[in-house]
Amino acid sequence: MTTLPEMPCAEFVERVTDHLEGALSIEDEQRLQDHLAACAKCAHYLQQLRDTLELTGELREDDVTPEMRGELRDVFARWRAERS
Amino acid sequence: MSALRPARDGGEPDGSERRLLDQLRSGDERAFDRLVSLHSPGLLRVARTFVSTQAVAEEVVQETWLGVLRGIDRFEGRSSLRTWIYRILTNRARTRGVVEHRTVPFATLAARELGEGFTAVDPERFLPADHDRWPHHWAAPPRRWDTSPEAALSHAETLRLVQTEIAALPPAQRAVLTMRDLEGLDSDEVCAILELTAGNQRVLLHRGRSKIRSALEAHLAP
Repeated sequence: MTTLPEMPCAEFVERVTDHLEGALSIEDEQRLQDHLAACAKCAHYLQQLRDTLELTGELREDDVTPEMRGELRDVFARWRAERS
Repeated sequence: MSALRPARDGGEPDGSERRLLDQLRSGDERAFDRLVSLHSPGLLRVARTFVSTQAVAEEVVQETWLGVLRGIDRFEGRSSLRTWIYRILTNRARTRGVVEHRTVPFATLAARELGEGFTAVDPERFLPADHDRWPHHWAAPPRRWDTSPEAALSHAETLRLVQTEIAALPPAQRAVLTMRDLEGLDSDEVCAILELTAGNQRVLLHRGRSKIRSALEAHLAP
């Protein structure tokens, strides 16, 4: 068994998105996991990124203004008219 | 190349998507309303990353829906309905951007951003390469931030901060992050919509997310 080269913190913070995206090679994923198991600071960094994603997701507002909805109903009515 | 492979994952099962298409094609206004509610907020936010004002973004979204309706008979389901709708949007937005004389083609913006140097964290916060025990490990680790009600910023203020930081991102990073982290589109869809390779999409996403985290750290744990 060859030992994989250690992943330092400075590399961890650049690879973390690839890790979350499942895009790391098997070896790099192993290096990242090994680092994460040993480094509470990077585990904390990863948690902060997850918090960031959660906060970003909260910005999602699913309201369409009544004006816009009205205008889109007109768009639909015009389309239906030009179709028939 | 995966960027050219249409995604088959619109967030709705195929069966319900097909039914929705049938209803739309037969002129069912309620089906159109449902689709509008589902996608317009996201379309607006993404349009806003391409054009200069909210008013123009709203016009682009209206044009998009007209394009969707006019093209609905030609939609063959090779991509998900959602991917197809967003592609119509980015095409309209691009046209509007050209008319407004402000947008550089998206590919140029993306290439420019990808060509810039970047570190997720200030390199000063890591120990130097010649450190005898811990080279490239944290010297100044991520500071604990507090999101409890007693925190430096209220939750609403924190969300406003995130919003401001997203708005301040360079355009390609903003578009990718908005689609992925606000709208919940998956990477295949974003690659297909923005014509990015999977690797470049990840780099843009990484840079955008890292910057938002840094800003949160700076404000929540000063």
